[in-house]
Amino acid sequence: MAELLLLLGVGVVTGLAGGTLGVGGGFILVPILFSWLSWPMLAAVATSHFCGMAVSASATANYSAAGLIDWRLGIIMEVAAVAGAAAGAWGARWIPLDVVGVAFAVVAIFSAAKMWSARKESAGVSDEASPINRRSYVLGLPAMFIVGGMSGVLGLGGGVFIVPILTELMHLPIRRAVGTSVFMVGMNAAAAGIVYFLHGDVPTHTASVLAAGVFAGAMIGSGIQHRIPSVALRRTFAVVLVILSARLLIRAIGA
Amino acid sequence: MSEPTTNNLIAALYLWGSRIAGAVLGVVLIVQFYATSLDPGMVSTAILKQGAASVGLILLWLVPVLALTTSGIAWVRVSSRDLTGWLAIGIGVFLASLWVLK
Repeated sequence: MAELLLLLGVGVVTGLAGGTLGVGGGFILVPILFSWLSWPMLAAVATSHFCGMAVSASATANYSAAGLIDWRLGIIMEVAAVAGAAAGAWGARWIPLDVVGVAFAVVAIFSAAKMWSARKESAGVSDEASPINRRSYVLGLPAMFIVGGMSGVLGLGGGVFIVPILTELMHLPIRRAVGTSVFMVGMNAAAAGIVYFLHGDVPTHTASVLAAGVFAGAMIGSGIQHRIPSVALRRTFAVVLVILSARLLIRAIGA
Repeated sequence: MSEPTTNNLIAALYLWGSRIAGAVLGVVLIVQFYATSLDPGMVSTAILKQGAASVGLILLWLVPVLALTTSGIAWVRVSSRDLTGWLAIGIGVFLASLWVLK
C-alpha cells in the first residue's frame, strides 16, 4: 500500500511537470525509478514511455481546447522524429552513447542560453502564432530527425528537445510549442512503449499506478499552464535543459 | 466536411480518448489498491492486478493510434492532395504495426 501511494505521488509530480512543460517526464521519472527506487534500468525506461503516453493523452485535450496545438506541424515534424527514432534505435549498438550525450549536452546548453535570454518582445515569447515559412521546415525537419535519433539512442521521450526546436528553429510561441510537443511526445512514447510492453519489460501493476498519477498530474499541469507567464515558462525550460545536460555530461565523464 | 471541421475532429478524438482513458485509469487505480488487501499468493489476485493494469496501459496506447488514423482518413476525404492526412494515417498505421511486428 505504501509503495503504491509513493508511486502515485511520484506520478502526480511527474505529470505536473510534463503537463506544464510539454515533456513526457522521462528526465524526472527514470532517475527516480532507477536511482532512488532501485528499479532495473529497462523497467524504468519502459515505464517512462507509458507515463509519456499518459501525459500526452491527458494534456493534449486541455491544450487542444485552448487552441495551442499545431496539429499539421506536429504531424509533419513527427514523420522526421519517428524516422530518426527508428534509425537511432537501429544504430544504438554502434553509436558511442557518451559521445552522443556530450554533443547533445553542448547543443542543449546553447538552446538553454537562447531560451533564457529571449526578450519579451521577441516572436518566440508572444502567444500569437506566426506563419511558418519554408526555411523553418528546411531547418526543422533534419533537426527533428536528429532529435528522434538522439531520443532513440538515449532512451528519452524527446519533449525536452522538441520544445526548443519548435521555438528556436520553427519560431513557434513557447505556449504553442509546449502544446504541440505534448501531442508529439505521445506518438514517440507510443512507438517505443508498445515494443517494450510486448517484450514483457513493463511491470504492468506498478506502471499502471504511476500512469494514473501522471495522468492526473498532467491534467492539473496543463490546466494551470496558462497562468504561468511565457517568460517564466521559457526560463523554467532553460533550467530543465541545463539539468539534463549536466546529467549527460556527468554520465559521460563517469564512463 | 470542411478543413476546420477535420482539424477539430482530431481534437475531439483526443478529448474523448482522454476522458475514457482517465476513467479507466481511475478504475485501474482502485483495483490495484483493492488488490493489496487480497492474498498475494492467490492466482486470482495476480490475474486481477495484471489484467486491470494491462487494459489501462493498452488503452493509453490506443489513444494516439486511433486519433491519428481516424483524423487522417477525414483529412484525406477533404483533400487527397493534402499530405497531412496521409502522414497521419501513415504514423497511425506504423504505430499499430508495431503491435504485429514487435
